[in-house]
Amino acid sequence: MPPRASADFEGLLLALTERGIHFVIIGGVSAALQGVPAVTYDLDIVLDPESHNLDRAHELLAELEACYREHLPRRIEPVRSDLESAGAKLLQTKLGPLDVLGELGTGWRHADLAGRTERIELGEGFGVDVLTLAALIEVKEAVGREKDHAVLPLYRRALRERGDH
Amino acid sequence: MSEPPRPEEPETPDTDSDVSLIRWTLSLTPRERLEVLQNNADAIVRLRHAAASQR
Repeated sequence: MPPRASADFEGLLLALTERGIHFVIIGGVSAALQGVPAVTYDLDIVLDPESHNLDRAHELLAELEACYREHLPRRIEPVRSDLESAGAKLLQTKLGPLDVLGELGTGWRHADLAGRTERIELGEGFGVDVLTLAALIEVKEAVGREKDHAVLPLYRRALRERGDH
Repeated sequence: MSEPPRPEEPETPDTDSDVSLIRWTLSLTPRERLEVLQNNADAIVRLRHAAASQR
């Protein structure tokens, strides 16, 4: 069976939260949860680098049969120490694409995200932390790729419509 | 969940963003927004596969 091209967003988020893994959602899913009519196919997260958190995350990735997307169909699985690196780990899991970033385009790591996140409740006992829309805009401005600039008007307009900028 | 609005002319000249769509999305709960995202992503993937299989 070919790998899932679009993530099972709820499945991935539930798997992460049920195992007590601390993470912040960034990218398109974060934008969509905050009301931007954006489409994305993968879930982008930044893990809390606390040692036990990375242990839990690594165990979950093994359960989800995660491997690096760029090497498919070869299966190269992420090792525990990969999760400590700043680079982006672009993974394919049985619940679809999952990108684990150590550092954002602004140079922000997990510790820098305090004060730049918002808690969003998706159900009883099912809450997730997302990078705020204002911070997402900062990241997209800093990265400066064409695809990031293309969505900036939509993000800025959504921020204005939310009235929380 | 109500249907998304039909596209309309942008209200401001500084953006091509569909304001009515943003307002509709903002009217949803986060869970509903996640559902919309999932449906849209899955639909685009299906369309891509269908287009690829006809080439």
